[in-house]
Amino acid sequence: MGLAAGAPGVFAHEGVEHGDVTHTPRAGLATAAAFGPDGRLYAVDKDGGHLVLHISDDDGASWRSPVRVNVEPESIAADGDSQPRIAFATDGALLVSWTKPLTRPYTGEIRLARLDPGTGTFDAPITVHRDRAEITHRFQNLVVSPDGHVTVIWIDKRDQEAAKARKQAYRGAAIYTAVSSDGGRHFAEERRVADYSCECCRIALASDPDGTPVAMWRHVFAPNERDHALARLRPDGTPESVIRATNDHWRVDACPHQGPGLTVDGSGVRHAVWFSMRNGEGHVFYGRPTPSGVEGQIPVGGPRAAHADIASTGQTLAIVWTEFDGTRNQLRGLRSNDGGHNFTALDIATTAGGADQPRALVRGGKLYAFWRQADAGYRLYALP
Amino acid sequence: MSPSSFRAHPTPMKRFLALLFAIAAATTAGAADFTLLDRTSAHPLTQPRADARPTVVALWASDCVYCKRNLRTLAGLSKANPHLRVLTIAAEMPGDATAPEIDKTGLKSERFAFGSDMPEAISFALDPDWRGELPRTYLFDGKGHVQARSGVISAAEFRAILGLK
Repeated sequence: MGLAAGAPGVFAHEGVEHGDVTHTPRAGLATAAAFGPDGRLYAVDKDGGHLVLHISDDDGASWRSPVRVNVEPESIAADGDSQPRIAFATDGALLVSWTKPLTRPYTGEIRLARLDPGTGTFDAPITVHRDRAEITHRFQNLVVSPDGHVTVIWIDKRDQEAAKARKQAYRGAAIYTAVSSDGGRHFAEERRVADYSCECCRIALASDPDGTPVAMWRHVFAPNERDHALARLRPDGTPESVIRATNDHWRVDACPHQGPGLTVDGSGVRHAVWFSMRNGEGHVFYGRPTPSGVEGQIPVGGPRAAHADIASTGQTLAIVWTEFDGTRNQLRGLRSNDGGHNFTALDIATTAGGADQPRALVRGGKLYAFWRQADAGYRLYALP
Repeated sequence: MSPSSFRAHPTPMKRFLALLFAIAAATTAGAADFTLLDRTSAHPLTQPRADARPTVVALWASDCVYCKRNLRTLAGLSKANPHLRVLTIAAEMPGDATAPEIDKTGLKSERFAFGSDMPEAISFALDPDWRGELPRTYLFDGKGHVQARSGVISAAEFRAILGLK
């Protein structure tokens, strides 16, 4: 089924709300979005037991017939910070990763499927890790290096489970990676990046100018400070270095459900957005994490700003986030043309219905926001 | 207790319970163990209440390990303090696995859950200052004071704030 140009891009997804009151579970709105090497817009979301790929040749005005990612239905996490993620291998293949929740609470497996360029069907999905214990492997993300390595990263509780068996304390969970050197067809045995991550926040990935992947996640610094850590990842997925990336000192034993966003600009400067409580006040923040502290930290948006993402091209940055004003969800933004020293505010869109987290995207030196809305479907906004 | 007894003794507490039963009868068809909330029905739950008894409103979710700690603590406190009232709100639309998650903690509570209204709107109606972190707990001491807390709360803290034994 193809939609005519100009159609709103709403598909009849199971459980998607259209204002009627039903008691069916709310379908996860979480949607991955990226521009392909062909310039087309790719979006992946959940429809029942399937992930579904949508491709637009005209920046979201119309969409080709959806393609199922996993032919065999399975359990799929697609809500809030637990979201499908997509990336393109150096051979042009589309890689889709997701979390498959298992029977017990908090548990899951990290799955990945490949769509070879020029073919219409995905390879059968694989589980990227060797550990098949029914424990937490969730909140995955992936990045492709210029040399072709595919690094998948996730939150993993094997070390917490082992500590529990020894009756030892363990803060939170751990960060693990698995690396493929054949474009995502096979993965080497997973490696631990860090102990003591937070349990339920998405992980941000970007690449330094030399192509080295950089990961940022919410950590649990002793005794229970939910600040962030940042690591450069070697080709085998182990950390070259880990630094404390934020210093807000939010001490809490809770699940914030708000992971960070990260981009590296053309000069190699890292720019991050994150949510934290600082001196008792919750804010989304922007700042430039360095080994000696955060530079240029400022609050982003109003008191209900949430789920910010960030992208860059050269010295130009775009930050996008959602803000509920009591009635409507607003998509707001900040743009900087000087590497994050000065910002201009952007009011991008509003919706009276539910909405996913926004994604900041780049194509050909231009910045965009992608925002999945329950009422209006998949929407792309070119940022001024 | 027959409905007529509510009319015969219309204390605020009983009127509130009668209202809860009415809401429950109207909205739990798809999730028998929970009263499903929209923005209108959610709002009163965290507002100052006239009850002269300690009351806890506990927001939680199936995938929140810290929430279970608070629910287990409240289960223990409820046994020692029969006058303690506990309302739980699952910040998710309940599925088959939601009720067993709270059953496992041993907590007997009045059970609410997010319905099909926008979660942002339900959250805002409950508390515009809440940023989505869980557990989130509202402690009413029965003397007109309320505290909103994020994170794990120890039994000693619950006792001190609510005047429990």
